[in-house]
Amino acid sequence: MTTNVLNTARQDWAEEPRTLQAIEQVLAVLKSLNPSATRFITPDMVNHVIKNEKLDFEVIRTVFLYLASERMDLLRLHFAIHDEQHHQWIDLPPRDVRRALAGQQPLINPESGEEVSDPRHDVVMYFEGTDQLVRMIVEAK
Amino acid sequence: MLDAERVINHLQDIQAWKPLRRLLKEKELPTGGSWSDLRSALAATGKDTVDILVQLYEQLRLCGRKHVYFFMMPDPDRENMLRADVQVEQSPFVAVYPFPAEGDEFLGPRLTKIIEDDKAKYFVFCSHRRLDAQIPLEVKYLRDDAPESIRSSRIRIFQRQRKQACDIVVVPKQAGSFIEIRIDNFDCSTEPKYTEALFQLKLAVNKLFGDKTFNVHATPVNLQPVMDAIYSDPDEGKITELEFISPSGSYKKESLRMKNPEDDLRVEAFHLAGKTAVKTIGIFRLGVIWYQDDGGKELEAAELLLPGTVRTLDDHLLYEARITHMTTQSDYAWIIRRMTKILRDSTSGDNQS
Repeated sequence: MTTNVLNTARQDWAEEPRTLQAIEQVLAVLKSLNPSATRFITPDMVNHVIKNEKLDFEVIRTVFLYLASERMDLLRLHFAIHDEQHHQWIDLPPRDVRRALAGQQPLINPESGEEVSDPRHDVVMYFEGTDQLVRMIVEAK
Repeated sequence: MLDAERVINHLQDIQAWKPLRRLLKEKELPTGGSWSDLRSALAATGKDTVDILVQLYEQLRLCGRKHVYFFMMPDPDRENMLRADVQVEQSPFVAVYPFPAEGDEFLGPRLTKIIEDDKAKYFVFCSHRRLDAQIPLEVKYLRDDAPESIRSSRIRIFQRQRKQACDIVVVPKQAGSFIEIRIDNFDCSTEPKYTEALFQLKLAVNKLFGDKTFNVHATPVNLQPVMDAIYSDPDEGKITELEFISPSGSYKKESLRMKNPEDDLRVEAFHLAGKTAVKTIGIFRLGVIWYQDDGGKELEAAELLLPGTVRTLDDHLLYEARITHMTTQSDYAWIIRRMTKILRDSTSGDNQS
């Protein structure tokens, strides 16, 4: 499965070798994760354990968004508000977040029913491993 | 006329006993084992001792227990700040500096003192903040006809106290250095809050130096790379505090403060086992303490806190650091130098392995 994933990436990023290299580095880390610990992944977490030179934050973020695309289907993108008091994550529908960030509609906290006052500041983006990523990790072990 | 006892009272307001005792011993002053011993020991001392205590008090107001912000400013603008002919403003703070002014006024930042050494110019701004202190309400303050259910209740009130803050803008003389702003960090929430205090201070600087100095010429420096670099370097101090999210989705807050210089959360058994199991963690808040500087000199309470929130995991931005204890000028300067070095190394790639 890893070979298929890498082949797809090589095909898509043939003209951008630096991004392709970054994808390979990120995949190497993702494959090494504990399969039961893929529920909350951020680019930063992966960058911590990348060997050799760390990736530029914008590059690794682009790689994550690519791996979360329908074509790759290794990560699932989540938008959430973090309730600091209870350390609880409140997931938000991505479509609502996109509309709110575009200024098209207010963003409503689904737990409280209140409007999120500053979506740009309060909404946090994170990723979750898909079943496909978990299979890839298990195969690699 | 200042006497030793008055200065000791002021010192007690801002400094913990143990580190103060060490500082006094360094100055070869008698201390005894308690605040009252200290008052007795220094009661009959002369002007020289009072001068030492005043210097110590000023040093502690200038350094330590601060929120620290760095700003990058083009060298010509930084030079302009150094050359500017700004004068101390008339205010009740000036006559009694470094001690708090009497009276009931509530004043915003006023330039109270300008200090210059071979490395930098320090613009010291004094202002007032309000602190809410919770105290029990004594029954005698209730009306006689207050219902028994109220009279027999334990009532606590928020008493608003006025504190004098000492915020500093440090303009370095060396080209390419960061402008540093220190905002007083009181123990409880204050008004204005830290970010508002920073905003007010920047307004005061803009007014004094003109040309909207901070709005136009200064760019805040992102300190997030310092957090990553400290955690990944096992030789960089000892980690005392961590907040992070694990890839399994759990939130963790860990603290290791047994006051043993060998203690380090990086290698603490529970932390290490958890980290090994999940491979990586997303750290957004980190505290680190250094017990020695690079030359092996012992440091007292040289602790730095990088107080991010989960938001930092996403946007990778952190503009504030905290020096969490009162400390000496040399220890404070060392923390700042260390933080600046880590920041420069980590952003230039030198620190990456």
